[in-house]
Amino acid sequence: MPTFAADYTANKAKYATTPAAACGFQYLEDVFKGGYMNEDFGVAKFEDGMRMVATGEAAHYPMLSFAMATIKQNTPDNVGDVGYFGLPGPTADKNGLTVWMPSALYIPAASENIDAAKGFLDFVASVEGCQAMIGAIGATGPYLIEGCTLPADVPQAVADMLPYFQTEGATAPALEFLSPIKGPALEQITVEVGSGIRPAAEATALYDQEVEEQAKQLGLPNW
Amino acid sequence: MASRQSSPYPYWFVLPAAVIFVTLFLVPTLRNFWFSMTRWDLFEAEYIGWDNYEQFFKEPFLVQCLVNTMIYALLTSATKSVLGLLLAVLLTSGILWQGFLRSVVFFPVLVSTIGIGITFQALMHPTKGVINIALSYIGIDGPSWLSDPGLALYSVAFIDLWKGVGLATLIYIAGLAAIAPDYYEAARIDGATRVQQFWRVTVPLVRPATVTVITLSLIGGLRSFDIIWATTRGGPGFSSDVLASVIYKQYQAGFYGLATAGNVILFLLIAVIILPLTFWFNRREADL
Repeated sequence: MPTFAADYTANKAKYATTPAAACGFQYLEDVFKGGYMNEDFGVAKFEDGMRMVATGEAAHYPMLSFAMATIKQNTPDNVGDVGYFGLPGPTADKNGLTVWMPSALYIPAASENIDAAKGFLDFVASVEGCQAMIGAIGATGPYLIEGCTLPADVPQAVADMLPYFQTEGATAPALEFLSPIKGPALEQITVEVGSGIRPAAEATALYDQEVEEQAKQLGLPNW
Repeated sequence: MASRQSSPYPYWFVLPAAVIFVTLFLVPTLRNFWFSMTRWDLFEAEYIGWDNYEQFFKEPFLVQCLVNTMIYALLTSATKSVLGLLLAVLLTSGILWQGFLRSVVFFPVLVSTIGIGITFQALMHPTKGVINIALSYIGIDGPSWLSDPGLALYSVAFIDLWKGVGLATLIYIAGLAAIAPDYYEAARIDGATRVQQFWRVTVPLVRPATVTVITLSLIGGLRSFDIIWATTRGGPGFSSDVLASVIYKQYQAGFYGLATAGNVILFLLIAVIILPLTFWFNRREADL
């Protein structure tokens, strides 16, 4: 839904009443009900998950390709064994990749060395800076800097992502880059749905309530 | 009879302490009440009246977290008092290595809470944790202590008990030492058994220590945050959330006014429970 982000921020659309949004929670519940979770999912941590996917103990893990950095650090031999695909959509041909924007760097306005700091930022945003990062942690995805190309030996997971960027309309930024509203309890609500504590429909309504609280605290108009 | 001129000097002696009290305690508390009625992002505060309180009470998980807070506080307080007294009686009865055992019992009180949280997360792991492995040797299939929503709060209460019982024992040992041995001698002469001596002599005479332990552990339990955060972070979902962790999450989200309102509510909750309790304890003491 192309206008969802703007409508959502202006309190015109809600998760509970937008089927495309609500089914996100439903998929979580379906995964739990289908019995696909491993036995100790409640206490497994991110590093455990990465290790299990890399060594083949687990089949899938929903993640961002930043995770490749963790895999490279902990289980470097298995970097080539991990592939990547976008979460499936409701039909076989509607399948896109949710894209995460790169991290931002900020300079405080009261800084004494603003020019030096700006010079550093110029370096980070340049091709040399990009190559330096690739050399240090490896590539975790295509770069937004013009002229910075990925080396030929990127991990399999990153190579799998590239076709999505070459198809028109197959990628979209995550909602949090388009809207300031993201309820702080989302992590716990998704844990509840994925662990079977709360049904998806209830969780969607709960998240809408949570988001209302946040919008009021941020002082957004229309709420 | 000459009337003594009242000297102003005693008030001058109190002044330094009063200045510190007012600046560091009284002023921030009053400003707390002010900020709880604003929308505050640490730089500017916009007055919005009772909205924060209204929003806090509409918080979907508030009822659950208040119930959790009360269960947690009452459970830890009751168990610490009972277990503390029993341990204190054991550790003043002249058993072998009494001094060493007292140190062992008190040691967890001194250890970092975060360290304890991380350690128990490892111990309570459902498949690889020592607790469940030990239970499996005697044929019991141990549950998932920290990620079972029905069990998480009680597991954390147990960890809190393990950590805090040393302090209760210490206070009780001091209280037991204050009981004159004459009472026990008189009871023995009258033919009281050890158990009767415990119930009729020890428990009534150790009352001041009991009051202290109950009050301190109840206040601590109502405010408790670090052990819960270190083990489950209020999870899974919201099942082990207490008032303090809800407030912390709101601080994390940047809702400073709302979190301050939550703190005022916590303050009032503790006052409403502890003040009547204290009056009740002290009133009976005056009757003696």
